[in-house]
Amino acid sequence: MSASITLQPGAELCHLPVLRLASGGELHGGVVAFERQGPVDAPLVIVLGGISADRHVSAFAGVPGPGWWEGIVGPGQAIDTERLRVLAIDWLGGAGSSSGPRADEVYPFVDTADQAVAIAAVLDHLEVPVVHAWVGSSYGGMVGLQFAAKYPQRLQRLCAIGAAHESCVQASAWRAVQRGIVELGIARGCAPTALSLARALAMTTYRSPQELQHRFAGRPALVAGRVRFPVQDWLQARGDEFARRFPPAAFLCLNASIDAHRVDPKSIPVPTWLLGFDSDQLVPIWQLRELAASLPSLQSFREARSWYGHDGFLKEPLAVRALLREVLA
Amino acid sequence: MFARDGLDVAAVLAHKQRGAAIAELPGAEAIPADVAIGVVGADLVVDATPSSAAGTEAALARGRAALRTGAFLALCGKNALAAAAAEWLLPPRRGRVGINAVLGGAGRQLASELDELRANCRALAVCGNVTTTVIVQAIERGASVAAGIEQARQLGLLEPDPTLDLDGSDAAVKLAAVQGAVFGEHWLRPVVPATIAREEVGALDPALLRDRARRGATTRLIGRAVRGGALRVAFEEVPASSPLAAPPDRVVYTYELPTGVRVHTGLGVGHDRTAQALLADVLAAEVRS
Repeated sequence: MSASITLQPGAELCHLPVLRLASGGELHGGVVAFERQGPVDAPLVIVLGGISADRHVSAFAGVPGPGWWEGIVGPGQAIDTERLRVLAIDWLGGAGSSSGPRADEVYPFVDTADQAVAIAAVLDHLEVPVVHAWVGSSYGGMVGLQFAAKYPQRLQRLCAIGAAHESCVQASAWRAVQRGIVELGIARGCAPTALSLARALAMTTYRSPQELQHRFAGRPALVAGRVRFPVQDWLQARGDEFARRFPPAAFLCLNASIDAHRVDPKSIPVPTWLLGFDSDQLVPIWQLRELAASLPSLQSFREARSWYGHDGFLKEPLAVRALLREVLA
Repeated sequence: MFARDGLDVAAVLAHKQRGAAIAELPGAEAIPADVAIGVVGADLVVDATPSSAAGTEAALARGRAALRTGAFLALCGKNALAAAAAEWLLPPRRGRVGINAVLGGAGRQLASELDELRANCRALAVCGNVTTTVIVQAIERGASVAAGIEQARQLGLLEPDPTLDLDGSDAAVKLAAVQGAVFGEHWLRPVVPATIAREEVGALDPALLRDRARRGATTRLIGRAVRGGALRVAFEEVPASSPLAAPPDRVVYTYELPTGVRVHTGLGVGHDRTAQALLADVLAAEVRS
């Protein structure tokens, strides 16, 4: 498979060896774009977020623009880049500068185990035998669980936030509908509009009913003869913003990858910390309790109250920082 | 080989199985390939002859003959593309020449992004000679230059004329080809690969290479071109996480754009992969109706 990517300043690249994928296929010529910050000789912490997150976690001198986890990662923050070296990647099959689906090539199916293998290859490339910690939220936590199962000798501690050992059926159902919307859009020649709509649907699953009720309760307006509710403006804005930066094929790739996620918690000997949010509809607390009960080396499992649902890892910095202080002490 | 009334394939096979040459077939007549291309009037011409500086003019004649007849040209030879990149990749020939195999499997990406690159690229670089990568890696692991060359030979990576790999000529030709595509114009004289300053494998200092490896870097034979500037091919220290730190199973082309560095990776290395890259061009060819 050939590749065409664009690297921005601060991005580094690892040319992957042939990856034998969990689905049975192979990925040839793959590349992973990554970013590092922090002292060169400091303990390495891998920090990864959801499918829409990327390698740029927070601003630093090399890449001064804001990242997706400002306030958690940085000098003096919970993940302190004055004493820790942080590594983050662009997902295979995603919207960043790692290799992913192209219009004129068939991209093989990549699941969370394959992402873990790719990250192991990046660590081999960087000659890092052991990682001090893995802090993963959502998809990043799923991949962390896979990495801990496959390479326990290479990971000293795992922190998974809003991530479980498999996808629950309700969440898979919602994502199947999202994929159907995008596939219909691709077939009809209106992929960006379809992706915006799919993302809007996804947003309703990322947050809680309580939050949406609080923010958007209000009378609908009549716009051009049609009823329009306040929440629709928010959904459309979020959807359109996502569709501007995320290729539809990449969305399909990673969306399906979440649903294919399966890992046996009993196979994870690495010391593990879990954090879940009580209003999370995608990774419900009962599922995290299942995971916690099965992990051989569970260190702590925190159930945090939040009305931000699955997005709690972005919207509840106090809870996240409290956990990370314990993990990285 | 062409017969206007149709080819008797069984007879040709039997003739070949007797060990005879095609030119000895009854009624056979040897004519120059470019003339034959004009006679046959094929929709698709696949030129899989090996690259050579001496064969450049003949390759150009074949390619021009194919394009004059309206055929799609699927090309393997680097020297022809280096001499005719602007002529064959810009209008009016645009879209009629497949260069995927020429550029190690990265030609289709270049072709599809050519407008953007021509408008915005300031400088480009090529890590396109996997033979030297194998030699460098062998040296980094403690081998001598000679042992590294032998390893490349055993892997089947050397060109039919191995000096093309070892004296930088192969890299220079690839550089001239992409430079012509991205920076060339119809009215500009193409860069002659032989005039490009280059370094040869014999100049490698094993101690220096190993020192770089100890520091977490590596060494690659890199071709560089700047818009409006000179071209050069040289062994450079490359950070391990640079896109130009290509492993020996692929070629890498980088293009500096205002938005970042565009990286094209091609897997058309070795006989099988080159054939696959050529086949990709054949399958994508616009066939004359």
